[in-house]
Amino acid sequence: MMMLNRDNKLSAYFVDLHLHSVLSPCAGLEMGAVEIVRKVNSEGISIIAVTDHNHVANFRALRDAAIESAEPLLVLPGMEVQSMEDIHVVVIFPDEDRAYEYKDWLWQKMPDIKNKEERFGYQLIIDKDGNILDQEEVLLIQGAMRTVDEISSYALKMGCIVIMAHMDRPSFSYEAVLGPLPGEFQCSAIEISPLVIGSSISKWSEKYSDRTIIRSSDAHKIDQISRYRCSSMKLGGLSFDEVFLALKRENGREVLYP
Amino acid sequence: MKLHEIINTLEPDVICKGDGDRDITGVIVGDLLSFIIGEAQEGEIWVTIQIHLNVSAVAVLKELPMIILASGREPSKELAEKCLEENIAIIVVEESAYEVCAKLHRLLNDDAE
Repeated sequence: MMMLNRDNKLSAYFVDLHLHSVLSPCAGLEMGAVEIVRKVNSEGISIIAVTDHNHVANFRALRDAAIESAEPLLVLPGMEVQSMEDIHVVVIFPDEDRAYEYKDWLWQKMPDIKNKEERFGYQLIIDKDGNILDQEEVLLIQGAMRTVDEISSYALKMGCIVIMAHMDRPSFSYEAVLGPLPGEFQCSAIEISPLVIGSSISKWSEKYSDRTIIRSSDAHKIDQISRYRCSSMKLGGLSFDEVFLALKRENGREVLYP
Repeated sequence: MKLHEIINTLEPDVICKGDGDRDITGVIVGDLLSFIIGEAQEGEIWVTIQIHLNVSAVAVLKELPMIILASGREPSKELAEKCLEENIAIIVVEESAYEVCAKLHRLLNDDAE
């Protein structure tokens, strides 16, 4: 059941649906919860999704930090899933329970390859104050033995948002690995990276004219979080359902930029 | 060299024999379809470990008459069915891409001499 406040006026919000915390081995150690929230506040961003590689454990830290946020801020649980073909798919969950349900399903097919911290970096599970609660031992930057089609269809069936990550990039994007996205492939949106600017944006919106295009920061460092590196959306408030509708371009909700 | 001669020499697991009389002009190796779309030349054999359905679409697009799946990688059901439908040869070999390419290099070079 969609929770929409029909009395709310629609307004423009900055939304960043793809960023990493210290749980991702490739992210900087400054990507703690309070640090991310402070930077997001100063950029005027109102909704973020924390999307570590193949994991969701730092959602709680970000959500708790957002409670003490200076500005209204919604943190959504998300995950940057890596498929068996080495394609990255950003999945955003309506709630934490479904995030863990999906993670458990994904991890049934996760190879038992351990992280080497000195090589790939730390995989830290933290609380809102940056205390280290645990470390994930399994390497998070590897593909689960599930196909990109399975990964997206299972998530859509659960009511999640499915975004094809950084489609313009030469690595880990659907286009690079499997070629142009077929018309019958189901997803909520196509993400282009902050490297796509100016007139190049229209190249993507023309190529995939029947799909929703968004831009996300994919921030691995604090400096990469910026209102100029994400999307603006017309929403009736801060909720998963509002974002869901904007990506579907329904009820007056939409992506304003890019 | 003809496609059927290559199949006979490699002793593969044959999913689809394709058009045995097609001339093979060369070999390309890669698992990224964007790379194959950009680089492959008509008539080449494509050696890969990629088993997604889209492999058949790229083979049709680039007019590649044969796909060799290396390291014993079995095609997805959808890929196997599509290759049969399009009559694209698709075979599975136990050897790695490196080993099968070495064999193909010998075969095609001997044929040219």
